[in-house]
Amino acid sequence: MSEQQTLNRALSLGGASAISTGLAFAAINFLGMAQLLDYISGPMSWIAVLAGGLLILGVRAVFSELNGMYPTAAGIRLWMSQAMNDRLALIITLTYMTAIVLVIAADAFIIGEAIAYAFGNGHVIAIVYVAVLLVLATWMNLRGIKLAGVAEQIVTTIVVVVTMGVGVIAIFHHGEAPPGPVGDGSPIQALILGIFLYTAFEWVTTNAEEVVKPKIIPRAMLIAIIVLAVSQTVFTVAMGLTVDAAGRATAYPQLLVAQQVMGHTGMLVMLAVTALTAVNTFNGGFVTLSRFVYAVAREGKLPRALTRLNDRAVPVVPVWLLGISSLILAVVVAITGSWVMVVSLCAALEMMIYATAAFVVWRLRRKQADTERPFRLAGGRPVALAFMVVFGLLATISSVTVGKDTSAVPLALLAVLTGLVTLYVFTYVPRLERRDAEELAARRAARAAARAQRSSD
Amino acid sequence: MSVERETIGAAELEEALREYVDKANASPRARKTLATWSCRLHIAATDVEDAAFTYVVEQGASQPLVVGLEGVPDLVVRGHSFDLAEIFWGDANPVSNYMQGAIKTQGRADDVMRLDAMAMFIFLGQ
Repeated sequence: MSEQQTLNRALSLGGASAISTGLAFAAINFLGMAQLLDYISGPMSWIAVLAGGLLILGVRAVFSELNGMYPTAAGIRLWMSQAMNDRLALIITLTYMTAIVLVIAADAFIIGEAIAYAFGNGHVIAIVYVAVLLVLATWMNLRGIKLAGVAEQIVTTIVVVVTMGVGVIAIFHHGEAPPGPVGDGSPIQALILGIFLYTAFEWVTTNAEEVVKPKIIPRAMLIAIIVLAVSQTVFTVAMGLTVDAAGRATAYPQLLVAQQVMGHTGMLVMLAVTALTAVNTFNGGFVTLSRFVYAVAREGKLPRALTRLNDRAVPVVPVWLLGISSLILAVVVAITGSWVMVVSLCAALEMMIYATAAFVVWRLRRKQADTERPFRLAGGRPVALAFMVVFGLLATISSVTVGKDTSAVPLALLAVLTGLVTLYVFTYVPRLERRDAEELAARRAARAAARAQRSSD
Repeated sequence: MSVERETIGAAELEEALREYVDKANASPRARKTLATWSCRLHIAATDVEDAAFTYVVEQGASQPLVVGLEGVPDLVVRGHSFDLAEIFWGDANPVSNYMQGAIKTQGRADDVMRLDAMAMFIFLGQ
């Protein structure tokens, strides 16, 4: 059978590009842009966003090589287990998955705060909005309602075009620019936040089986990076030219940009754009994580209760768990006002997975030297090693920084999380594996006996 | 992933698939939960020539198995004959084999999940 046959409902380059762009362009990116402007002045902020984009091109090459070798939705689980101990691979994967919960919680919080600001409601009402949003997202997922491919492309296009439009208007019609950061400009921090603006673009690799040409996914990632670079550069510069430090410290700086140059109507338009970014995040995040948890549970590495499906073939328990944990996190963030910490945690987790992916390329280049690679990272093992070191360092810096302050809290939270996951993997997973192995052995023995009986008859 | 990977002949694989189709149609839970699912699957063993089948599910109802590959598929499942047979015998689950790279698919992850759900309803009676 041909490896490149036609498929009904195959994913096109446009569709894959929209998915990659939409997954990366979350509401939390606006907070990333605002934080970036604490380190670099508005007119110069394009340097940090584009420098981040350049490093992300390297990440794209790493993921393209791995995706070419393992073009499957289970890719991250598969290529990690090929390159390292399966227990370690499981610990990294499960820890990384918390980034999705964080992004969903952060987006719900940002939209709740933005709606409350737009309609003059207080902080408590904002929390109610957050709860309503997450309950709605959970309910829609339990009903199996998903954004179809074309709708996803339309939503992403609107988000990008309107964000750029508002940005361009702000650049050409801004008033007196607020003063830039004083003193503590940090190029490294600005670079980390520049990279953060692109993170999650690589999740499109989980759609690898839906394309009929292997080159579509690497090309889609490239298009997404270019679109993200242009649109987010424009909006970051615009934000730097229109919103002062106090405005950038809110949870809705993007609304203030539009309000400054387009008045109340502009602010409402930006509110709609913010809500649309969440449509992509909730759609992609809920589906990706709940299905991944289901698959890992079916693999026998998570409790069997997580494989329970409702009458719409939706994994009920993972969706509920995701909804509840996102709600708890969003409420904690709203009460403590710790969204800057969420950016640090997400950035650290993403840099960690980029460093891990680079390590896997480095390792598999030797371990599976003969495996076919439709896409190869230029420079081979030395470049992979360099990426691993760079992203490992950036992950470490992200995990000890909250805004402009040095803080061990993100690192401590990550350590606790990793510790809990490690404890689970080393104490509970072996029990699950033993049970599964015994059941499989019994089924095989019964099957072998039946086949033997049949052949003797 | 299978420990021993004996080759399963095309006839035995076909028999396993036909039994699977019957079981799928006999499972009320599979019919109910997958009532909105329509999918044309191409299933092919990588180690046995002529072991290729078309399995069509229409609104949750499994149609009679077709030997050979017919029409444009929604989902393609390829793998070693033993790994495929184990899935249709109900000894191994599709997702477990898939996560470990024993079988390869082309198509939407949703269809893979529904195929797995069908196996779960048939063999685990969830």
